[in-house]
Amino acid sequence: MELTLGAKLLSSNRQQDSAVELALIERCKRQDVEAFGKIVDAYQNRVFGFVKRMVSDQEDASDISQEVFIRAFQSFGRFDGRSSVRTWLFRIAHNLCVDRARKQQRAPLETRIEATFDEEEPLEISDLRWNPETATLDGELAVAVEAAVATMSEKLRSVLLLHDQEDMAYEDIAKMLSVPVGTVKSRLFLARAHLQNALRSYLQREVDSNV
Amino acid sequence: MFDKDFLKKMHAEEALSSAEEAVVDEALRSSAQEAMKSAVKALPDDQPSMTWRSELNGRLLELGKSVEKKRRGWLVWRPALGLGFAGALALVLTLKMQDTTIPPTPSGPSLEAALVDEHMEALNATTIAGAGLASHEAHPTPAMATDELYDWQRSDVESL
Repeated sequence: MELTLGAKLLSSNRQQDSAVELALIERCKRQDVEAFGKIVDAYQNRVFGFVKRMVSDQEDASDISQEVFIRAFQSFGRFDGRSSVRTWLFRIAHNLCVDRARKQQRAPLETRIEATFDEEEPLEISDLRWNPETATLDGELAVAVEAAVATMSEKLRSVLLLHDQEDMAYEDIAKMLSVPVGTVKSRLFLARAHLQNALRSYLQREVDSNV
Repeated sequence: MFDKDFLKKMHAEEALSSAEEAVVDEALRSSAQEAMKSAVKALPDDQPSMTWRSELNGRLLELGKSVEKKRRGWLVWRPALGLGFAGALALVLTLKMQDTTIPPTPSGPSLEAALVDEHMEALNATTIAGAGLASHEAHPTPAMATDELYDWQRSDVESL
């Protein structure tokens, strides 16, 4: 069982961290509110961010992300440790987002990636706006990326966020979505290609406006 | 790298062969795809508001209290239920034992009624044929009610 609490080590001693985390999980299984609060502290930002990008509506995101932790608290007794707490929380979050989207029957239009897309041609993003070394995005470009992510279908978006933002393994994503690993990889490729097309258009507009 | 048919297959999420999957793996490692991965990774973290957190804390505290209440209730009810169950079991076993020791009561007329009927038959036999005739040898007419047998006439009395 992966034992990373919010991807931060609690101390320099990994064995000590594991023991502390196990003890925390045991207390959560007994529905200890204080112990569960520590889980919320560790994961609230990540869960909230994921949910907000999945549903796009701020109010829905607040409701759903709270519901994630409520359901986790209520069903912690059934957590069997076969996946990490993080994977388990994201599974709950994903399922709630899908349910909400179905209720609202929301299906963003997604342009199909045509064969004219040239995989060999790398996308050049100006260093002035994006520094890969510090991994920060210029405000406008971040908005463009967020907008491009929002225009994807929920299937592509979930894989992109779970893999590229949350560093989840293909196998874990496949289990969560009940699809083969090959499908996860296909969706990831298509999601990134969609993003690339959207950013190419954005960058082209920028270039045109500066000319 | 990808032709129309392969892209169609990916869009339709058809099963890929291992060779096709290897092609996808390679494509995912390309510089363009890695650049998109980095762009997504670099998106800013989102933080829920303090209001959000305090609402969540409130809901969790309420849930925690109800869990605690159920636990305490169970501590009281479990022994009571156990006693009740034990009592019911004892009662059932007791009743079952009583059933096996007491013989079943005979259906039909009671013993007392049978004795009375026997006595009446004997009286009938004596009345009709005198002493010496057994009750089974005397057959009073079926239509004759018991009280008619003792419907003494004046002449019967005078003949004695």
